[in-house]
Amino acid sequence: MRWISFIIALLIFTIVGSSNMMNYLTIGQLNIRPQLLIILLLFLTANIEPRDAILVSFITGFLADISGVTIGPALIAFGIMGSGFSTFKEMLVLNRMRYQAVTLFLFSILALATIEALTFIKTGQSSPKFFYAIVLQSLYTALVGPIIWKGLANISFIFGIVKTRRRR
Amino acid sequence: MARYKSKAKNGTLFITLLMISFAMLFLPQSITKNLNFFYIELFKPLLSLGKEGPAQPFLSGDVSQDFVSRTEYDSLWKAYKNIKAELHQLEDEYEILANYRLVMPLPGPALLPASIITHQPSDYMIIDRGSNDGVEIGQYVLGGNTIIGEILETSPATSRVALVTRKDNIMQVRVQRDGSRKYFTANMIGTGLGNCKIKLLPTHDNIKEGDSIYAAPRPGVLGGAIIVGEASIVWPAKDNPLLWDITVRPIVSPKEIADVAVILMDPKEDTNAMD
Repeated sequence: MRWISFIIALLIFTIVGSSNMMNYLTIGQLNIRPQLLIILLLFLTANIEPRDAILVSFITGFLADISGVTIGPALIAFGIMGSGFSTFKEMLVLNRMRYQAVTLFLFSILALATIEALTFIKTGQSSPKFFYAIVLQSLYTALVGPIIWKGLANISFIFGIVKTRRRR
Repeated sequence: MARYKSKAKNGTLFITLLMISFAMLFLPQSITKNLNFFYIELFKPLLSLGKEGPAQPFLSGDVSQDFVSRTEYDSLWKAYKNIKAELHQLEDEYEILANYRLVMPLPGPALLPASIITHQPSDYMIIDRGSNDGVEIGQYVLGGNTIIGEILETSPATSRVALVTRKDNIMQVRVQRDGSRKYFTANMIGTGLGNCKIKLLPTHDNIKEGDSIYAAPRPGVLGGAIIVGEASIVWPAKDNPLLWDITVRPIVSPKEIADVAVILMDPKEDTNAMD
């Protein structure tokens, strides 16, 4: 894992994800937008060593929190789920876009629901119609995710990820 | 054996980071908000990129002299409503003051212009003015001549604004009809869906769709009523038909504006503040 490349990519994803540029991709009154950090997190944890994956998960969660409203919810959600995902990734096949989409959808639902619950515990604030918002955001992430995943896979060498070709 | 050791190390790392995370979660928001503001101040220029709102659909084609564009109409309408509210207030004040035959010059509130750095989900926005400029929690924020929100958190150089439409945001308002001096006071609650609700007004109060909703004056925060929105749907509540269920449509969408102003009722000496 090349940490400098990871930090730069993480900063780019965080800034784009929290800037007004995302308003162009935002849909409806519920502010449905793709979760760029979840896509980056899932791509990296699927391709790196478990120890690095733990660090990547918590650092990504920290950046997700720092670019939001409160510190803690995404740190815990991404930390637990990213680390957990890296443990079970051997059982998953993520070489096709549809598998990536399904994984992103399920991961997003669990992560966003955890973030919503922890944010409520900390601030007492909940999002309007949060169930629909979580499902729609996860769907959006699952739709956009595989395209970004493919882009990341093409530049995966900058993270120090070695491509392995599967034999048929 | 080596694999077992590696797993144990991973477990220790995970538990350590998780404990730190929980410590961060349970730290008070008044402390952790500084990290959020630090991030915003560090990347301010990048975060404000692409702030232009959606294209206005009403501006295409030539506009006849007998008509004005929708944008101009909205702007004039808001100014008219605010002047009317100010007039009512001045009339009330005049009646009181006339009794004493004494006219005291009233100090007006100062407006602190600010730019929007970024819009955040859940109806928040970040502006580039903070406690160093005299911004305080609870002050109202004007956008396009209407109240769009209030200051929720401040840092020395930036502030977080909670929009009136934010879920569970409560604001005291007046419901008033054009041409009438009578008004009803109520609490307006944000829905988080781009509008607000007023629920505890009895149905014998004469309220109709199109009635104006003003932010009620608050000592130390707002001197006179200022327009917030209009009643777009007025219907008896499902759970209690004796009470209105009023949906309030804000006059201006915060995403369509780039600059706002903070109302400083107790203006400090500030070269940037304009009276």
